[in-house]
Amino acid sequence: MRPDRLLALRLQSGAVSQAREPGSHEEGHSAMDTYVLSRRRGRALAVAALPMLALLAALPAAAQGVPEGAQLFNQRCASCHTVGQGDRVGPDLMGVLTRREESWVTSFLKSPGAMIDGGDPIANELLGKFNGIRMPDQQLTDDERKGLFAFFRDCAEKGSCQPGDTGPKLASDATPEQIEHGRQLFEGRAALANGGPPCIGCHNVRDIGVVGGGTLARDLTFAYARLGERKLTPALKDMDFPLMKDLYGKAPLTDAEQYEVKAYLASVSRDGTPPRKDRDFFYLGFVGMGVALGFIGIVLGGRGRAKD
Amino acid sequence: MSSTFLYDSLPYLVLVLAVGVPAWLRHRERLSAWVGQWVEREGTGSAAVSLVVGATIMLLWHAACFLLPQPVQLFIRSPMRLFLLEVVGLIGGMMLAWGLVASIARRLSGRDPGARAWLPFQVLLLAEVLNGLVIAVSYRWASAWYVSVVVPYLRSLVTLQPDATLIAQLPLTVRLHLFGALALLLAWPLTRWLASESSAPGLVSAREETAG
Repeated sequence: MRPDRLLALRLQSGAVSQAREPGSHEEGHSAMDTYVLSRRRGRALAVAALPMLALLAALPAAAQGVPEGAQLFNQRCASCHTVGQGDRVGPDLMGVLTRREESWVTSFLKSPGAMIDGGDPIANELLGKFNGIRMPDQQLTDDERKGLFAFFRDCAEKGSCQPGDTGPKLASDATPEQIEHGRQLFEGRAALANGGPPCIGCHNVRDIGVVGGGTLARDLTFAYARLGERKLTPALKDMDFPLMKDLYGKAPLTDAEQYEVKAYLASVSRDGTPPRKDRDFFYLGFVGMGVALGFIGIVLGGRGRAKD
Repeated sequence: MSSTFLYDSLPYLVLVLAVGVPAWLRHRERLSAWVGQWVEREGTGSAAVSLVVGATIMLLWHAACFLLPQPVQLFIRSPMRLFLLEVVGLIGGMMLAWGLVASIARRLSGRDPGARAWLPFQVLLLAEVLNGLVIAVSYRWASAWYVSVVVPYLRSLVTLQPDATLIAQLPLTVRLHLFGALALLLAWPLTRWLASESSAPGLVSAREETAG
């Protein structure tokens, strides 16, 4: 602390001490008085800061307008939906807030699976119309949802909407060949250019490999739905996760590989059905051991001699 | 013959032949006597065969990943081959565990002090095998991440430049497997010494004492 500041503080505390009767028992309470004073000062500061904090808290809410909604749509929804360009994996969302209640759309965004399983007629009708593909749950904040709804309303007012390209190439623009190559890279059937290990060794994704992918790390079936374009693109570039940072630091994915793996993960996450948690591999080991022991027994016949 | 074989594989082949064949010739009688003793002690029932087959599979699985990481990585590029390698490893581990349990039970019921000296080692080995089985099932596909994460560490140990950056980030169960292997390495010579001390010819067994 600077000496002049220290001096000022000492003078302040000295002034407080001199205000008391000298030699009285209050002298012993000087520490308590200092504490009370500092509490009061803190409260006054807090009261003064409250409007400022409220203003700061209001800033993100105010910021969630049509442009933010459009950006969010590009990052999280555009791989399956359009606004005015017709149905894709999911329905065209042009005028969605006029043909459905806002509360219904809000509930559906939070958990489409729960609404389908709960017997909601519209949700089940959509499920039937779109080949039984369940939309993954979307963990949006209230502000993000408001921004998205503002974007939908804006599109409905204009009568058309073409969200601008706001960042790296979208996973929804990938060709089937790129998605398939992404799957091959994930499975290891196609080698990564810089020699990195394939994803399947540690990660699972629905319907991959013979009985699934690895379980050392997180299941990536809904990685795209969870992270969206905004977070998945840098995640594949930087690999800023335990083990992966060191493992891929010297063998990073090329730009094309990042895109193809992202496109593959986006295609997988379009089906919101949770992947089956199986123990097939474990049971298979038991069956295999039984077969092997049976085979040994047959080969040995009566010649085997077990010791007591 | 491709130049890859001449420069990459031939030196190792020559080394194995130059070291392995003379060693085999020198020790074959001792080895055959040891096998005879083992068969005499463990028998040739399905549990004993299971122990040998399981141990062979496990040793080959670990050694192949350690010595030949690149060929193993090429081999498991097909998900079907990765699955087969893992299934064979899992079955091998289960057979080894079954054989060890049978062997431990036999030693517990026996009275030979030399054989009993191996009990702690066998129990430690069984714990290591069970830990390996837990890893194989809970953190599949071990052969895929073993060659990418564990083998670089083991190789860094061999070259006297230990680098635990990757292995330190693995789950505790996997790290325990490594420490278990180190414990087994320590326990092996100690147990051999204890077993030879226990079965020293100077000792008089309880049966001989009674007969005298």
